[in-house]
Amino acid sequence: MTEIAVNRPELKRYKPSRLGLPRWRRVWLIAQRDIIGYLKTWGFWLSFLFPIILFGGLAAFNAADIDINPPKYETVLDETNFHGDRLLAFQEEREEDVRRATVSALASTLPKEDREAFRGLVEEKGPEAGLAELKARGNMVAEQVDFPEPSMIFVPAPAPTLDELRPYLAGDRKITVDGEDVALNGVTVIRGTRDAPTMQYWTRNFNNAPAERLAKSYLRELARSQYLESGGLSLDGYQDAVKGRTDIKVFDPTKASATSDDDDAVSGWDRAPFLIGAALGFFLLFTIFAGSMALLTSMIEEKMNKLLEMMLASVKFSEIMLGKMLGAAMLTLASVIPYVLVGIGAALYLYFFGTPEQSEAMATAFPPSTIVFSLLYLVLGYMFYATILISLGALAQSMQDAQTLSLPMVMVMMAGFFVIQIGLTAPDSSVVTFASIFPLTSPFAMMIRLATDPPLWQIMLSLALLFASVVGTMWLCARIFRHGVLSGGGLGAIKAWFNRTVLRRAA
Amino acid sequence: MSAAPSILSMSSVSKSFGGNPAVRNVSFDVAPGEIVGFLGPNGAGKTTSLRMALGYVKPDSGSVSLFGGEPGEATFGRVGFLPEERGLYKKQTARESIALMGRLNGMSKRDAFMTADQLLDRYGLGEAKRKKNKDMSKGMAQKVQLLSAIAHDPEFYILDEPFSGLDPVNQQVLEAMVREISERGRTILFSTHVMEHAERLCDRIVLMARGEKVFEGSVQEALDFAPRRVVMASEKAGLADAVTPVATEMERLETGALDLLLRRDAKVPDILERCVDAGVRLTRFEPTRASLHEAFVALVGEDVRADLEASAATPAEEVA
Repeated sequence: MTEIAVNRPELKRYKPSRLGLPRWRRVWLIAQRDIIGYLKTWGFWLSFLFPIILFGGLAAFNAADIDINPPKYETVLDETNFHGDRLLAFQEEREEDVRRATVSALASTLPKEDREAFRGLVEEKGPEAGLAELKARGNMVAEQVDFPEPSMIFVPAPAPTLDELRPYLAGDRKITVDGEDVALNGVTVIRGTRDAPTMQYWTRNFNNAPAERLAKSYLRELARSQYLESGGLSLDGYQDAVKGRTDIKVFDPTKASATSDDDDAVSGWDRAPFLIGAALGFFLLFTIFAGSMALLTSMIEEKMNKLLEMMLASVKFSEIMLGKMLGAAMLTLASVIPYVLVGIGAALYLYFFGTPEQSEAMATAFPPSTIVFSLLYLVLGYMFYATILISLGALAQSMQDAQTLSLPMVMVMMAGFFVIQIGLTAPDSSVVTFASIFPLTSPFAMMIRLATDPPLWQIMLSLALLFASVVGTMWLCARIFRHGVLSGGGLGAIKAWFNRTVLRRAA
Repeated sequence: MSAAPSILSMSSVSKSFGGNPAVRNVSFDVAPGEIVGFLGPNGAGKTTSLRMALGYVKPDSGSVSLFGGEPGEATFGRVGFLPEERGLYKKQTARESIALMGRLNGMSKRDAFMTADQLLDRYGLGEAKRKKNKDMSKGMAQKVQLLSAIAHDPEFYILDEPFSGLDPVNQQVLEAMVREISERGRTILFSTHVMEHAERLCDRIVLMARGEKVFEGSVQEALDFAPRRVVMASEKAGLADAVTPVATEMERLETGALDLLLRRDAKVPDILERCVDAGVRLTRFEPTRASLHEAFVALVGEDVRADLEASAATPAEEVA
């Protein structure tokens, strides 16, 4: 053995806390070890870089201007010499409707006082003029919007008969459009008479056939029109009679008065708090489960490394547990930080630079109480699930054990997912109310209920139950840990304990 | 036993798991500066006793005192523990593993890494400082774990089966480490089922069998319990008849000599006197030194011999 002197530096001795509280230096060292351990894995970097890769890929895709669903070239063989032109006109009307609907949705980003004039402009000069006007005003949303391209483009038939068109449909021959050779996707064949047309659609691409849907709609409109005419009525007359009569505005009594006009009606932005609540619920669901699952893996790794026993001569179990929870929480938050920053940035932008409606929507979605409650539910929810999964990790003897044990947790996660979905359409349903108080689902379900301003006692009860559950699971976790790790007991030992204590059977 | 206050004192300690007693009414003390061997076959209750000594497991009855108080946070930094089941964080380097334990025990980051480097150099692992634990041989990894346990230079070392899994060369290195730690005035309690290590290292031993303490004392005191053997030879006949009354077993070796297992009350002068009286002239008289293993068997009875032999044949880490 080489004689090399080993200096023995002074150790800093910590007095034990009278209250049994953890020493944060040791907690931080455990957390730090876990964080560095994870940073050395490929999995962490893949999940961390995933959003960047995804958004980068989408941006590159967008920049390359790749059309994932290019318009299809269609033609019509009209044996009636009547319905072909009308079918094309019907298609143009539908495309115009889509453009108007797009501009109408964008109008909600304008201040209320400008909307009437804008509607007049669209009525008079068409949706293209409306979109140009919005872009000229520097409307950021409109700048990102273009009218959708038509899903199909009708071209003159390259041959007069269906038989002669077959090579085109089979892809053996191409048609030339603007000097470019393209494939003919389908042929709509119109037969019968002017009063009783029938249609067939010929194509090899029968899974994606917009022309078939167009033909169906056209025939439905034609049938309705003929029926009305048989009674001395017209389709135009019917549409004029209906127009404007089914337009019901929804008002929020907390925001509108009896004399309010249509512009005070509930808009998409009034629904934003619900959507943001659901997004927060999903965010909490994802974050809590990602962190807790990371802890489960970490605990199994720790058991397999067999280092816990050595560490316990220097560190309290509660410090190991807290260190691991802190480490996993920091890693999970690091992996979701890009999303959080984008979300905060968007909310702040809309609050400070958006229209009054947008600003109000952000203020409604993020009152200080929601921010405080969200943080409380995030911390308590994470601690609750983290301690459960640490206990499962302590009981598991292998990865297979851990997967079996974590299955019920995954089912709970799915339940949380469904509760949030129910909450989107029925935030006041009894299922959502129960889920917002029940500790296993309250961190997610209460997020969506906060938008409906639930009674304070329900929030407090929910938080109290969650807190009590955290304390209970931590107490249980310490015992399971002692049993599972130090006494070498696994699931078999728990079963033996159950038999002995509950069923009163001999071990 | 030293008059100085004990580092560890276990008093009438018992522990059962699921109704099965693991340790029964065990008492022993470890005085400052001692090397105490905690011996017994697998399943004797050694690991459970050590876990109770550290406060990991609470005894069902009896009491444990470590540095005069309850084991726990107050004794952090004063104890270095090497558990029977070994492991390291696979992605850490050797120096990171040692430094982590040093820091958890109160060393500054700088001191911890400096000590880690010095320890690795001293114990022949200087080249492996920045090697990841997963890339190390089993022997190297075991040394790194031992260095992690001693990085903070504790006053009291508890080593659970430290020699298991090591090749003979590394066993010698570990023995040298234990002696060196002891020479610095540190106290060591180590468990083993290999009696030879205890014979070479220990001031005192505690023998355990089936959860109970069967002996506590010096190695020599334990050896006194071992049956003595003597090999005798004579050119004339009559030797066997002369010594039969003092032997419990007798075997004739290929050389013609007799291998005698002596009765406990047999004394060497009596044996020689019997030979003279019988007119037997001895050409060979070789008393053989009894081993601790034989002493152990004598103390606990033949039925534990099988346990002991099974332990010697089974790597400790394979035993739950």
